Amino acid sequence: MKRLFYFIYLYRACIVFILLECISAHLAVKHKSHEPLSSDIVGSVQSFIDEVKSYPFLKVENARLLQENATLREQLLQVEAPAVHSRDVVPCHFIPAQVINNSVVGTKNYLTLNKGAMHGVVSGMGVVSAEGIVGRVQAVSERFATVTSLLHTSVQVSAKISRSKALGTVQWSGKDPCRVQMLYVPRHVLVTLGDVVVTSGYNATFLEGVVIGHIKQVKLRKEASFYDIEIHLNTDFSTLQRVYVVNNTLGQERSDLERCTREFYE
Amino acid sequence: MNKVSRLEQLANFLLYVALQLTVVRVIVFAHTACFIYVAFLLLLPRGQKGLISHLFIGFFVGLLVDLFYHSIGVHAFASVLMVYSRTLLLKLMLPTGSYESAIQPTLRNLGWQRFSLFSLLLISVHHIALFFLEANNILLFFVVMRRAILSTLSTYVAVLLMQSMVLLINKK
Repeated sequence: MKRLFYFIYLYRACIVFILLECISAHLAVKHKSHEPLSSDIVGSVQSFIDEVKSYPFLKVENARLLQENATLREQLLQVEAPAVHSRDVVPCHFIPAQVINNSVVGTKNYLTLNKGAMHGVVSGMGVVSAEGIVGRVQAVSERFATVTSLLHTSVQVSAKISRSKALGTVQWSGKDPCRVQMLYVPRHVLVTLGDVVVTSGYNATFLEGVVIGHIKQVKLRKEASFYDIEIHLNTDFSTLQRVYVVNNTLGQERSDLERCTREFYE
Repeated sequence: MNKVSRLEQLANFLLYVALQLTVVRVIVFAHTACFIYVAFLLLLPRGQKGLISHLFIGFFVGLLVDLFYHSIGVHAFASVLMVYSRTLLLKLMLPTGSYESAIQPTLRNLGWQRFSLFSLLLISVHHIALFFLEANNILLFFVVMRRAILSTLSTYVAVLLMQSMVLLINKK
C-alpha cells in the first residue's frame, strides 16, 4: 500500500496530465453530437466586440442595405400586382439579425446571432442572408441564438437545379469555404455550367427558391450513376454581417403532418 | 515564484488571452487561424514544482477559449498536451543543473534560434492536436494537415512579433 502511494506521488504530474486529457477528449467527442453552447455571458462579450468591429464597415454595409432595399421594393411591386396568395395566413416572416460570431476555418462552423427566444427565434428555423442560404438555428438562449452554418460537414440541405428542376443534396466537403458539393443528381439529367442551384423547399426549414450558388464544375465518371457537381456559394461566409431568420408559420403544421404519415408505416 | 513574476504572468495572461478573444479571433487571413493565446502557456515560468499547476492552468485557459469558439474540450486537450510536452522539451533543451535551468523561456533568454525551435515545435504539437480533434475525420487528413501547418506559421509569426516588441520596449 505504501509503495502504491509512493508510485502515485512519484508520477503525480503524469497522472494529472492523463486525467485532464481524458476529461477534455471526452468533452470534445461527446459534444460533437450535441448542440453548440449558447451562453449569455459569452454572447454579450461577443456582441460588444462585434459593435466595435462593425464600425469601420458601416459605410459599405449601408450601401449593401440600400441595394437590398431596392431589390425588395422591386419584388414587392411584382407581388402586389397579381396577388395570388389571397390566404389570410402569412406564410412566413423574417426576423432580421446581426452576426456577432462567425468562423470559416474549422470543418464544423457555427455562427452566433444577436436575436434569441425573446425575439421569437426557435431552434430549427432557417437562416438566410440577402445573397442566399446561411444555415439552420441550432440552440437558442434568451437573447442569442447559435446557427449551424452550411459550412458544417454534417449538414445536408435538399436542393434543386433551378433550370432542370433536378433534385439533389448539398453538402460541404470541409475544404474550400466558397464551394459546396451537390450530391445525388442522376446522370440522365442535363447539367450545364452556371446553372443556379436553389433550395427545394422539401423540408420545412427553408422555403423554396433560396439561392445557394451556381454550378462551377461538373464531372461525370464513366461508371458513376450520379454527377460530381461543385457549386460556388453565393453567400460569402467570411464577410457575413446581416442575416434573416425565417419563421415559416406553416412549417410546424406541415412537418407534423408529414411525420404522421411516416409513423404510420414505420 | 515571487511576487514580481506572478504579476508578470497576470500581465501575460491579460495580454495574450484577451488579445486572442477580442482581436485575433476576428481576423481570419487566408482561412488560417492564429491562436496567439498559446504564447501565454509557452512563457509560463519554469520550475520543477509548477508542472501540475501549469497543467491545470492550460486546461482552464483552453476551456475559456473553447467557450468562444463554439467547441468544448478541443482547445483544452491541445493546451494540456502542449504544456506537458513543453516540460519535456525544456528538459532536453535546458538540462537541469546547467546554469540556464531556471530561466523563463522568452525570446530574450533563449535567443531567436532556440526560441524559434522551441515555439515552432510546441505550437505545431498544439495545432495538429487541435485541428485533428476538431475535424475528427481521417478522410480530411491532407486538408487538416495543411490548415494546421499554415496556422502554426501564422501563430509563430504573431508570437515572435509580440516577443520582439516586448524586447524593444525593455531596451528603451
